[in-house]
Amino acid sequence: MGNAAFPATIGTETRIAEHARTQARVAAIPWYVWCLAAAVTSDAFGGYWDISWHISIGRDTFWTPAHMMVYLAGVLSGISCGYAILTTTFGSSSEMRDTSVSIWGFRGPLGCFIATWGAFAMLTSAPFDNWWHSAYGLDVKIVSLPHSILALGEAMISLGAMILVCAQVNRASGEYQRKLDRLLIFIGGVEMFGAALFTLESTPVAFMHSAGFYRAVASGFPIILIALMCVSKSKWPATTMAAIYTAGFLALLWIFPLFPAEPKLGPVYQHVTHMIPLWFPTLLIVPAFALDLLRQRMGERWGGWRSAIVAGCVYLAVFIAVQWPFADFLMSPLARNRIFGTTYFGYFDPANILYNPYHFARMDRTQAAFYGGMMTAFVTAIVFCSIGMALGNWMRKVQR
Amino acid sequence: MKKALAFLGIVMMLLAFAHPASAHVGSPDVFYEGDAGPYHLFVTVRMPQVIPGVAEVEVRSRSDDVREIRTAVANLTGAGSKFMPVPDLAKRSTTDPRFFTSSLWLMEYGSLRVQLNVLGTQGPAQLSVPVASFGQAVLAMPKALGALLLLLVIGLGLGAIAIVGAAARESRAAPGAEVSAEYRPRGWRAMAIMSGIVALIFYGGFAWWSADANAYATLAKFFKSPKCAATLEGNRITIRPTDKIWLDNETVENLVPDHGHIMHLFLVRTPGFDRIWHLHPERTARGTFEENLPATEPGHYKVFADIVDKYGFPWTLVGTIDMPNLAGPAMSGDDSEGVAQPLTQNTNDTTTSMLADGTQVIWKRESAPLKANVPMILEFAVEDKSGAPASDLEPYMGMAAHAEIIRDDLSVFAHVHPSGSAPMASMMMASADPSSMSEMKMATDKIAPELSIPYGFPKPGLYRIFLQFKRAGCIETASFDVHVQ
Repeated sequence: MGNAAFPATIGTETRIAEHARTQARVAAIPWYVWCLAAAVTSDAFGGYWDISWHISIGRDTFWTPAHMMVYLAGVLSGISCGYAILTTTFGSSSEMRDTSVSIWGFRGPLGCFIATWGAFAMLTSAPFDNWWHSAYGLDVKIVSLPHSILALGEAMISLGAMILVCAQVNRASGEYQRKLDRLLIFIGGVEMFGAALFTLESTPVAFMHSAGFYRAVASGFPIILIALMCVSKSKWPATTMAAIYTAGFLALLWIFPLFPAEPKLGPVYQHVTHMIPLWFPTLLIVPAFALDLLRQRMGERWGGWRSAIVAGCVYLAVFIAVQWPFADFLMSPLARNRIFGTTYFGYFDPANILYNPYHFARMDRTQAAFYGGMMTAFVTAIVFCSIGMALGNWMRKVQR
Repeated sequence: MKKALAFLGIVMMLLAFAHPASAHVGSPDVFYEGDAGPYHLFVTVRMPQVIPGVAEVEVRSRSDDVREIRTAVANLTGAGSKFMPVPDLAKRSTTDPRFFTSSLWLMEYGSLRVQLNVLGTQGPAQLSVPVASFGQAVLAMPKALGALLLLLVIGLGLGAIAIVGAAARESRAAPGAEVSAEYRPRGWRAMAIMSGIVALIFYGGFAWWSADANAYATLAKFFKSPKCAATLEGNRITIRPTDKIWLDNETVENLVPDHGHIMHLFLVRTPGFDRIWHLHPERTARGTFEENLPATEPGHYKVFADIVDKYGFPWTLVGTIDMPNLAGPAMSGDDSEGVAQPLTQNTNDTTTSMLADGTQVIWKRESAPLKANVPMILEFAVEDKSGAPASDLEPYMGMAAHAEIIRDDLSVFAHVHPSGSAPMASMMMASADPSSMSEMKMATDKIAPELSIPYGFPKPGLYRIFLQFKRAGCIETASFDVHVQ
């Protein structure tokens, strides 16, 4: 790595030591890091709002507030990463150059490059999605190719934010490191919130006694949980992240219905008078707590491939143990209230008209298919925990 | 028709293959002329190419007393027909105060109704127009957009490879430290692996796109008129639906009578369209439609069979049949035949049709060429052999007239009425009170000799119009030809 601005007479070790001292002195997290964290938060909240908008009101425009939140995410990530990359490339700060990587002649933190890539992916998805609507119909399904490119872009902005903070955590010490660590866990929690949105189609209450539901949960969350558990110095990172996801979903479940809304598209199957929230959060907080305990128990052994297998099994087994009976409760009349929200249906949902929403869907045609599916879910959990472990082990060493 | 719930309670609840069919042939737009209370309206619903998509609604009021029109969409029958979304305010033309336009999202396939809430000097009123909602085509991606997307995607791919390379090469180096020789090969290896992953993602993405496009193309293809087999045994004709996807999603038991008949069968001799039979086979327990034919002339005939399902969705089954010279019984009931000069490319536009009994029908159209995709009222005057307005017109199957509009290449076939392009059965479902059919242009005992039919030719070309009506118990068939630009 070239560094013309730095006196050549000073040795590498001296520079590293000076950098550590500088970091220890600095108590304030750079504004562009906050900005990127705000982008991640804005994107997740905007995503939730947008889905709620679609199931409550239906018709949207480019300028809906939910869309504004998502655009804001793009703008904030563009501003923060653009600033970081341009000032590193063309500025005179030796510290920024020392903690940067080089791509196509530009220099900057790795996380900023990843987030920039994510912003470009989001931009790419826009004209593609627009054409997709005209060719195949508006949003016939959430998980379409252009939506997936958009989601990939959003995920990369989040990953970029995590790596940006991660590198700073790894370089920092003392109170500054703890502050960064808290920010990292917050971003992880928001990411879990976002992952819950992307797996929404596979995780309604009616699917909670089907193998597909557990496969979705086995693939949607472990990478974030496990990776940040490898990096974080906190004692309860997974529990805290799951708590952020749970608190976010609960807050919006209880707040959104307070706002009036009416469908603007037909046919209308439900009489909707207010914003329809998404459903009660899954009980991820329990397996997350179990993972934290497991990490504490495994100590130094955490991070190896054996720990990934154990983590995958513990994660899914604990989740099944709590979610399965909880799903029974959610199906019961006791849950049909504002607290648990099982009475909320989108305007286009013929619940209680063409089907009974309080029955579990038979997604697995046979018992054998169900058990086979659950086995696959466990394998999925192990695979994704392994990926999370590998990512976490790498993130633990990221310096730039 | 089988409604298939694609999903049980999640975000995009769609009725997949709910009502897969096509109304008419090649003429998807809806034309309707009728009354919303005291206000007489001509409504055109221009259907979108894809569903969900935006339909353009055009409303022309006959009088100046309409102040405001709001439009909304609901299901025609059953679930989803009870509640209405917030209606959209139609835009009033600044140059023509009788003309209103509105853009409406059609979110589902199947039988829908467009509700018009009309406000005028005579108070509020409503009108419901049945709409057959289905995707029609798959749009190709414009080359410029394709090139732009390809460029962006290649950029993203290269960017991803470069980022992964930098991550492997430099990200773990201590601040200010030089990248060690150990990490450089790692960077290259990571980039090589990422190149493979990017290639796999590209391949998977295009495969996914291709699968989605094929699924949609199948759907769009399916919406084209389903095939039927027409066979003859003696003088008994049998119509049997043969389209597998149609049969998988529909049953003939689900059909309802339209104008009192379960099927309106049109046999049109090709080429030339010089003979047309309008027949009404009965449904049999075998899932077929059968009738003893009257005396018919030999030739190759195109078969159009109009049916309506219990949700109000109109289908036109299509097929062909070669007919021998048949000596059948005399025409009876509502069955009718028409005779015309062979249609050729050299055929000129005609505005007068002389019938065998001396009846003369005059198409009162402007001399200017007719334009495609322009909603219009086709107006006809029926005169007796003395040239006086005919005073003995009677309802023909509940309507003042029926018209069959056929393009010379058979790519368009529409069976329309004075009330518009929707079948009467669908209109009855759309009406809030089916007994109040007086709001539509239903025929009463006294039929005026001026017949009007709302329609818009869907594309340029040569068309033949068969106009059928009843005079003093005798069903008449006039024919007109028109080149549409």
